[in-house]
Amino acid sequence: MPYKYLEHTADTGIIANGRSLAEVFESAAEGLAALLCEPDTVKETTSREITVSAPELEALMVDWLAEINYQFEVDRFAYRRFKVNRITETELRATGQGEPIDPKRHRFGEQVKAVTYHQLEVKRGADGWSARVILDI
Amino acid sequence: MARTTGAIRALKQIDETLWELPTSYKQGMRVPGRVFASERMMREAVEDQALEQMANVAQLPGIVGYSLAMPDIHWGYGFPIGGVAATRVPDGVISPGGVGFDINCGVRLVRTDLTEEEVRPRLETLISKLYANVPSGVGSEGMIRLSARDADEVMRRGASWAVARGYGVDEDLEVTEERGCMADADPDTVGERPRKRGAEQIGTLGSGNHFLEVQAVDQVFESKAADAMGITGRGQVVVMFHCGSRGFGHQICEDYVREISGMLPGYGISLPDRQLACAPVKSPEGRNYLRAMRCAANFAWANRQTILHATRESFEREFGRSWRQLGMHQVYDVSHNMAKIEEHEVEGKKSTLCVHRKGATRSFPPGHEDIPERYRAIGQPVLIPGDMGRYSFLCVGGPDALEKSWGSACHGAGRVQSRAAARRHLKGRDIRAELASRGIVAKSRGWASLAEEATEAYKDVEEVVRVCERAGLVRNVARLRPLGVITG
Repeated sequence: MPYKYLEHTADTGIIANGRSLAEVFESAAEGLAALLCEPDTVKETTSREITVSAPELEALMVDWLAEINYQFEVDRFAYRRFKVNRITETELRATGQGEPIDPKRHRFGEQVKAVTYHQLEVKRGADGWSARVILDI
Repeated sequence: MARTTGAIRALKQIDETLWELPTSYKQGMRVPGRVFASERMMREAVEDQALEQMANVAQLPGIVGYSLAMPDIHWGYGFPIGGVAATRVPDGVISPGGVGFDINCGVRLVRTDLTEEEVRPRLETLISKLYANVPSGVGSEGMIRLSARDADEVMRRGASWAVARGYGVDEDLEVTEERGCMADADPDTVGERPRKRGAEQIGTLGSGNHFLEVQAVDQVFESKAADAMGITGRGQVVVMFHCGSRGFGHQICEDYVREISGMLPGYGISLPDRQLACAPVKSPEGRNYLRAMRCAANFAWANRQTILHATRESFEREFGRSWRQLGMHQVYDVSHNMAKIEEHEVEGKKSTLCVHRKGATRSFPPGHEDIPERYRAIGQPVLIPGDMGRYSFLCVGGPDALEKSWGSACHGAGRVQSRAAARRHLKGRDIRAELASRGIVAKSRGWASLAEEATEAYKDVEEVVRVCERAGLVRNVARLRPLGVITG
């Protein structure tokens, strides 16, 4: 699994991995999308462009995940898969695949209030990149 | 749980219910930390991460007295949940993370003249009506869609906006903290995104630990205070619900944490946890956050006021009598995620403080001028929900609360198990049937949300309340037992 969930007493977290910076961002986003909505119920019928910018890399991760959560809640769009097309320390351009929410068919998971900066980490290790993000549930 | 690491070993016991973490524990602590807890809780339930967070909060510029934690303390983000911190105005800071994402999350209690015997035969249909009228769960939408103008009115007027639309009466406002509206809320400090997130969410519970419960009074401990609140005795039916400012408040917090994070170097503030991002109370960012936070607080009160209306309507339809005939008067409404500018005594002098309560309830003692007149002699009602399988408590502000905790007490039981652990633990069990076998009707969107909120995931709220009472933060008035539960 490119991502797993972190035990946190009140909330939950995502630990994501990737061979590249782009991949760790994709993994984290897929982890969040799977938490919001059971991935097997989401079809990849629609693709959307997502652009996010932030002052530095860790904040970029928070803003990227916050954007996906915002679109889930406000646009009622459920993502399943992501492709990061371009990424720097401060900007990300990606394409996400998914479909508009259908409450009859989609199985919802957790409602995510927000993406937090608590114990936030995006770092490069020997085998690639890893990230840790805690979500407020 | 391993009890061998850092913070827990550095604690010194002050008395039966109070423990202190000295400033020597961690570099940068400006004041000691203090936790209210029993010995047993300290041994078994207080996590190191939560104590670590209490030590981090002690580093906030301008913090006064102690970095405090209530007995329902648990690991949060930035602040521990159950954390209370007061900073000096004007040179102290305000931290959006010290209020939390769910700004003015709180609890409301409504009494009735109905008895358990009258309600029990109709419980299933009553809960179904409530479930239909008070939307809950992920992605739920309310019956009201706010126009841009309505939204500004909600932000400025809070619960009185809902009352003006016919959702309740003035009497409800009298028994709501701040009368359901904080002054100096400025819609201009709120961006587009919170408005969009909140547009369809008035009148909805949300998910997670938010709930609506039909309860019966189980035991009355203090009859004079109970009388004043319309609590008549064992078997009386009441309704309690818990929710906040929904996506509107979450987004305001998110937007201001982002903005304030970027300003930290400019104010010369360095912090051990980015989620503690803060700005001086009187700085432009600090002021703007407070104005926006008050908009979210008012949104939450409008939300709970609308849910009160939907609750009364559901009862009216089920029992064929008006809510007045059913005696459905609101007892009180408290906030447990908020920052407020309050006057407190510091070293014998009246001082203006910014009191952050993150998962802590205001708990003012008898005689305090901010308590509605009808409750002034007994103290401010403090509503403390437990888990859905056991009980909740109705308390009033205790004699020592101002001195010991800036007039604050616990806000609930406090989790002991993560959501994932609760799901693992309860796998294969029919929680709905188990509750039903104990006479509790439960309704939720799915199995997981019941499992995550099950009794096993929480501390025993009775012990939490007992610690608060021994410490003089509250006086216990009544225990309430669930009959029917709706979880988000």
